[in-house]
Amino acid sequence: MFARNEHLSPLQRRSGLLLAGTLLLTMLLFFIAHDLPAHFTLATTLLHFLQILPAIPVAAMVWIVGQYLARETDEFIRMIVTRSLLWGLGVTMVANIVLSVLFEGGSAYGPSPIFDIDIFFVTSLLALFIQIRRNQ
Amino acid sequence: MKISLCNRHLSPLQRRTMQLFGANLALAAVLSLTTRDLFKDGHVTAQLLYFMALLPTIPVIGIITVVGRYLGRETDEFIRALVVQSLLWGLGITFAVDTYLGGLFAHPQIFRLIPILNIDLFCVSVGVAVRIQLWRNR
Repeated sequence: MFARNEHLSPLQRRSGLLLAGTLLLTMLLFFIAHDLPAHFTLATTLLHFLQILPAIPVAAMVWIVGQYLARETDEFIRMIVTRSLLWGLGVTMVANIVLSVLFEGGSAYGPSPIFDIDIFFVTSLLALFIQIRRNQ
Repeated sequence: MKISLCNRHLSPLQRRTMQLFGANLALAAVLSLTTRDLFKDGHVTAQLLYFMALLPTIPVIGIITVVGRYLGRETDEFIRALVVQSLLWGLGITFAVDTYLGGLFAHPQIFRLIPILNIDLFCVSVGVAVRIQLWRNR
């Protein structure tokens, strides 16, 4: 399945491309949302609007995963992807709690706010590759 | 359809999962509050700090295990798809809100009301999504 790109189905390839695209868009929008207030004095409303921007591709990423799961016909692959999502979710929530307790009170050295979605995707992909390798 | 809006119509597996889910969620709340209170009370050593940071993660791991176990044992394909869809809704809402609030709280002029409680937000949004989907499929 996903171990090598040439073995991907058109649906898997399309979902992967869309995910990568939205992840890049998230990074770009996140950079804009954090860089603009550092250089210009912005109204609170505009600040709120700017912070909503990176959340849009984040929601889109989850929507893409949902679309993929709904269209994937192979029951086994769907189960593996769902299990990987659960692994990603578990690791992200654990990391989020540990980091938020360690950096209680909004420390300047706290983790970047975009960290959670990155942890989620990295751990989900790792879990996916581990499961594929185990099932080969 | 075995799952329903009414708790009386739940299968034994669904009821047990709900109980375990609720217990883990309550434990997560208790441990989070205890950790925060201990921080306020006084100075803590680095080792205790790391231990206290790890403590509230135990029920979170429990919640994910309970959900994974439920999905592995649920025999009804439709219900499983519905639960997975609700999990995705929960994920989407949690990450979108987390990204928005995380970015907002990085600015000192924004008052930080409460710390972001991702696991609570996730559980509530999953619960709401399940109910909405059940209602739509009735």
